[in-house]
Amino acid sequence: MRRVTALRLLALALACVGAGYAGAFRAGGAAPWASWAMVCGVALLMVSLMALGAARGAGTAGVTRGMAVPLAFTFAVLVGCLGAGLALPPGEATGGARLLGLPVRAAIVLYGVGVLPLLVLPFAYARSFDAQVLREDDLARISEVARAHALPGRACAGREALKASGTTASPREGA
Amino acid sequence: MRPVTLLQEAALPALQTPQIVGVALLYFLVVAAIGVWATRRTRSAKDFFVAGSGVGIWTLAIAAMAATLSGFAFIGGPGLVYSLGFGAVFLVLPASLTNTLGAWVLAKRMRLLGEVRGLITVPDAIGARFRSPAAQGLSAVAILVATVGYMATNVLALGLVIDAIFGIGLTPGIWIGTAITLGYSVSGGIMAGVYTDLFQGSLMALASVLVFVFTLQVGGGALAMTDAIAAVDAAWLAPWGKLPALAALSFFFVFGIGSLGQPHVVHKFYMLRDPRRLRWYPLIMTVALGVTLLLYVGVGFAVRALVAGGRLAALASPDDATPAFLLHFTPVLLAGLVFSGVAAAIMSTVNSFMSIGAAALTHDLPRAIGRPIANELRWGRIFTVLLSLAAALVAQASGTLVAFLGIFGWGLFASTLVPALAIGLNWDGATREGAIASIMTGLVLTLGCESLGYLKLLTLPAGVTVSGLALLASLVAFLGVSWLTRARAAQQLDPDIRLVMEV
Repeated sequence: MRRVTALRLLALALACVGAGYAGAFRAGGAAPWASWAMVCGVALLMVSLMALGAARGAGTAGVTRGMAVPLAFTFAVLVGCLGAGLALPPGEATGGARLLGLPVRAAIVLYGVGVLPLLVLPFAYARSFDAQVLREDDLARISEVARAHALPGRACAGREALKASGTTASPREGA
Repeated sequence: MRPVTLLQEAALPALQTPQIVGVALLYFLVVAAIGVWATRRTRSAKDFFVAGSGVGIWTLAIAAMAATLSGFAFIGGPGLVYSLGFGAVFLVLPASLTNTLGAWVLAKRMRLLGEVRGLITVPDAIGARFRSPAAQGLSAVAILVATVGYMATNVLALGLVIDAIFGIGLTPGIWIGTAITLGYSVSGGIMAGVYTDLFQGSLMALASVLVFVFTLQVGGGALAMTDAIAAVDAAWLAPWGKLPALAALSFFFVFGIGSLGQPHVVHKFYMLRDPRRLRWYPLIMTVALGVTLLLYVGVGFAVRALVAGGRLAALASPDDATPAFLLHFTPVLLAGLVFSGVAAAIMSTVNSFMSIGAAALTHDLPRAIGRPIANELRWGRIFTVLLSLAAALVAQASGTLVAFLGIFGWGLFASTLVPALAIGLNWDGATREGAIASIMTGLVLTLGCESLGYLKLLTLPAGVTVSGLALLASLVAFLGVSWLTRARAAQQLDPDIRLVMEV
């Protein structure tokens, strides 16, 4: 996913959250679609921010294909579990079906949203760390710039180090 | 529904038994010993504000967990679950996602900013990203306003806990609690804070796991507790509990996305010794947080089932859920451990706020107006004392004022800091105008609407909170104004900051 796509999804997510809140102001109580809008908004917001944060490179570059799995998983878990909580009929009363000790709707929401991501996302992050998060050459470039900033006459040294690291100077700096 | 203040406001039942007092005294002695040890290692402003950037990943993650959870996780939270049902779990449900989200969005960028520029505060990062002293100063003002409120409410909660344990009265409890926290914070700064947090976080996790085991044992397992509640109050067991679905989902939005703007957690990324160790941050932090939150869910669930089954009298106040369960169903030594854990949770949060509040006064605001302070270590200590005294005086002065201050702390952090940090550090098209607009939007909307609500001049429909609206509005303002001023974006990004955003 490219950065620009993540930003568009972020804008769409905010529109959904806004629609959810707007639906609550309806006379006679919140509109039934308001909760669905909030579910979609929250799920899109989480995924778009993750994609934006995980993106590497200049300009419109984005995340690698390996990130597709955790992003799709997060969206599916949030929409699926929270949506199930909204869509399934109530069965909490005595005699209703139970799942892992809880009424089915509550179990899907609490175990699904509260536990499933814990079993996947931290490991996905750790697995993608070397390729997507922080590489050895990233650290070398950062250290070089940090050292240059620490030197006397740091502005000039910093620019030289950035030139060597391959990062383009801003127009003002370039001028 | 009563406002969710995330803090303890009402008196706790008396807990003065020799065992509880003994465990609490032992706890305070260990905290004092860590404070003395850390003070000897604090020699510079960098040590005082970011622990010399020499903290390991386990210490960082557990300290961040301890700072995240206040006493609310042990007292107010279980009470909320008891009264509202599973809907109250939505305040903590995002914890399964937020630490990985925070790692992807903020951890690396913050840590590398610290490396490249030697930054020590969250407003530092905003100022550097947008090359804007104004954005740095405004974010420092937002942090300062929220910090004083948060500290006052936490100090009041600490006074209540100390009074319940030692029976010395609320006012001495407030001042003794302030003095102990101040003692290690002013001498050892965040260096003392982070290592006491490690001890306090471990204590909180241990206490939570033990209590959770007792809740399952006493309640007869989840299924038995579910059946007991279903017989008398089936609505409690709905996924949203007794809240409207939209209200629970709104909690998920505010506490999930808002976690990216909590400065007492975000600024801890500067402290990490080796950025490559961030690989395991989400796993350690999420497990630590999840384990420590077991008590939050378990006690509320068990006490509701015990009351439903007639094994425990209905509570006079929801906040009595944890004390009632501990005093009736667990060994007294475990009760002592948990109440020390409550004090630990509050003190670790207060210490973090002392540090970021003092940094805002010593470091960010003077730099924002172009007059940096020469000796930040000395002034950091002075401002820590002054902030703590102000918070203790506010805590003592007025219960309703303290409750009001406690309401907006989290929301103010979220609405003023999330856009500039979470989007600003990851999108080179963001502009300083967008950052300033979002901070101003968050400040004005949160303070204005919360004040109007407090004065009963503004009422929002069920499911809509000021925190949620302010966070949404500030995110929209950030994106909208950045887009309108996009021609200036490239000029506002220094090359070294661009490098941090590209790797």
